[in-house]
Amino acid sequence: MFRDAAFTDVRRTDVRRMELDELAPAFVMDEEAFRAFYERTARGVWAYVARVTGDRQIADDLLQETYYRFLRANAVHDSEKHRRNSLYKIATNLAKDARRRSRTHPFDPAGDEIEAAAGRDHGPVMERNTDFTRAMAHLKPRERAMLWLAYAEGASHREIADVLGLNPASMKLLLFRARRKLAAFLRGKR
Amino acid sequence: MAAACEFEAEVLAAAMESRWPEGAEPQLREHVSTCGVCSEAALVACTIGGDRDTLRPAGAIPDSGRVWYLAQLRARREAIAAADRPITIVQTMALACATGLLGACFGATSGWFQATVERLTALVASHALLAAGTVVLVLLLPVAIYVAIQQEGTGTISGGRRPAG
Repeated sequence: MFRDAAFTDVRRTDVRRMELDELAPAFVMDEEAFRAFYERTARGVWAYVARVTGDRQIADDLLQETYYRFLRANAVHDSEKHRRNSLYKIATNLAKDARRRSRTHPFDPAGDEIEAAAGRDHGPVMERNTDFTRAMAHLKPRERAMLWLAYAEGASHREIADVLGLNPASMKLLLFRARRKLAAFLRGKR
Repeated sequence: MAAACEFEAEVLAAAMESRWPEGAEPQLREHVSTCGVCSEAALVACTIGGDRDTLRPAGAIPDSGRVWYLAQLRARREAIAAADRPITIVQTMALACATGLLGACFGATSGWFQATVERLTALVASHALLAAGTVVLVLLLPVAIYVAIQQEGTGTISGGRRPAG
């Protein structure tokens, strides 16, 4: 009788596990491929969200969510670039949503403690970094995003337009304007 | 200032490959010193590139294995929740039907309830315009608020407060 009860428990556990396996959708990407992709892209995505939102805390919060949504989308990508663009598109949308949720979280130019966090003493670098952070704070989030994608990630106009949901034909002009605006702030002309 | 320069791509390539200005050709450097578009491109690309190199190592990036495990766990939980959803819907519908039936029985048997409904109907009929206006207001107000919020958020991704000075 005891053996039967134990056997029934085992069977139940197995059935439950099988049910869970059936319910849980398999990701298109396997663990090994995901981990390699994550290692290649995570720091870039984190830096992108941190710069676009102006808040490293938000970047910390959104990183896991970005990769989860990427996995759940189960999209098949024809190239590494395409996969990367999808990831940045998800990160952009999440940053947009985070901003809508918390309008009381402005870009804080004085809160850039990147150097301090890294535990290094780079006087001129720190100064340059603070100037850049201040200059970025004057730009619209969309301008920050397109500049970062263009000059930190080396994305093409078409890729930037795709990630930000903009018309590719207007990208060149929008990027030029954003760049001019940032350069003016960096030179202290505005 | 012109929106483009034929040397811009070359300057950007040098800046993004950290070859600017030392690793670039002297002719290119000379051109940049006189070209507004190229000097702007070099300044912005070098500054952003430098910031990227400083910022990337500063992030507290979770381990890839942990991210994968948590994603699997969450996907599984969501799948279970999705599988349970039809049961919840049926239960909710059953509860709604039972409540409706009970309400109908109460309405059919209660004298004071019927009198109240009649009084309310008469009141609405005598102030039809006011009642219609109230209904329209109740229906349109949420839509107006939604549209206003959407318009306010257009074109921005995050924190738009500009520091003074």
